Amino acid sequence: MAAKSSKQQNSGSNVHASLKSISGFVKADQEGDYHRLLNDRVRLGIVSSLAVSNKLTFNDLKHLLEVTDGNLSVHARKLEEAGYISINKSFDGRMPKTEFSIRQKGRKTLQRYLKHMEALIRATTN
Amino acid sequence: MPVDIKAEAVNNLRFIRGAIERAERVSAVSGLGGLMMGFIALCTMAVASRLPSLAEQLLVWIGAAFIAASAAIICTVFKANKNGDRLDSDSTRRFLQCLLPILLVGALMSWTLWATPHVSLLPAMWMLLYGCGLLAAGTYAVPPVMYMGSCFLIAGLITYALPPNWGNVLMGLVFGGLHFAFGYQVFKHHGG
Repeated sequence: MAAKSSKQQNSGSNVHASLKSISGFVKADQEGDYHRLLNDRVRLGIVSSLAVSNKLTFNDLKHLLEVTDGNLSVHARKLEEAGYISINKSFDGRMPKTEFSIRQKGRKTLQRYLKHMEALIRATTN
Repeated sequence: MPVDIKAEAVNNLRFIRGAIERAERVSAVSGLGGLMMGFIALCTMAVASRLPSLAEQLLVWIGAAFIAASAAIICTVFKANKNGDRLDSDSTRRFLQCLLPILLVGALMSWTLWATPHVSLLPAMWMLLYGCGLLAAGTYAVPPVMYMGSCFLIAGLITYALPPNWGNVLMGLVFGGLHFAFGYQVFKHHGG
């Protein structure tokens, strides 16, 4: 019984240590607010989709993420302000065309976010 | 209520993976290629209708299939270059892995049936096999591809039930009409 309790304590301290290192990992991030920005599913979806398709139109993203025009515009603007994506507006004939592409900062942030999630899973699995 | 960190992290990773897989589908198929395939099919129907025997008509259709496939490949490459997308993505590889074996079976079965009295079954068989291929490959492509596969399956069953002398007309209407309709959908809603 005592051995079991000691084992649980050890396991708990291991998880605590792992989570502490992750906490440091987040604090060490210079952007600071990346986890807050990418915690939203729509914004996370935009960045993830753009990471594999260099360019996506407004309609592509709208269908992929199944969101409304207004919702997509608001979240895309936040990501653009953070420097994660760029938004290019042009005309295709007479039709207005909005294209999104990911920037280097956005790509790095997504990679960092993925590593963070993997680290969390590792820490809570051990 | 306590939050399960691990479950939350796994869900987030699953969501990212899903978003990436869906985004990769967009670039895999060219709508313009579909429109061109539809146009080639309608032209082939017009040319083949002047030929007296079903075997001769089907020979023209086999030639047209190669031209249409080439047009689709060129349009896909053109679309990928225009959008700056990779053609060697996992989705494209899986799409071809689903479609090509079924087309190979179609070619083998055509060769086998050619010299038999069952040659009139070829139009229905082509539609059914192409439908199966599209239905499987559509898992890795934009949704219209899968819908088109279902329509080809239904059209194949109808063609199978109808008299053989309808073969050329049905080939034209089904291959032409469905490629036109779904090619337009892809062109309009999925980036060209």
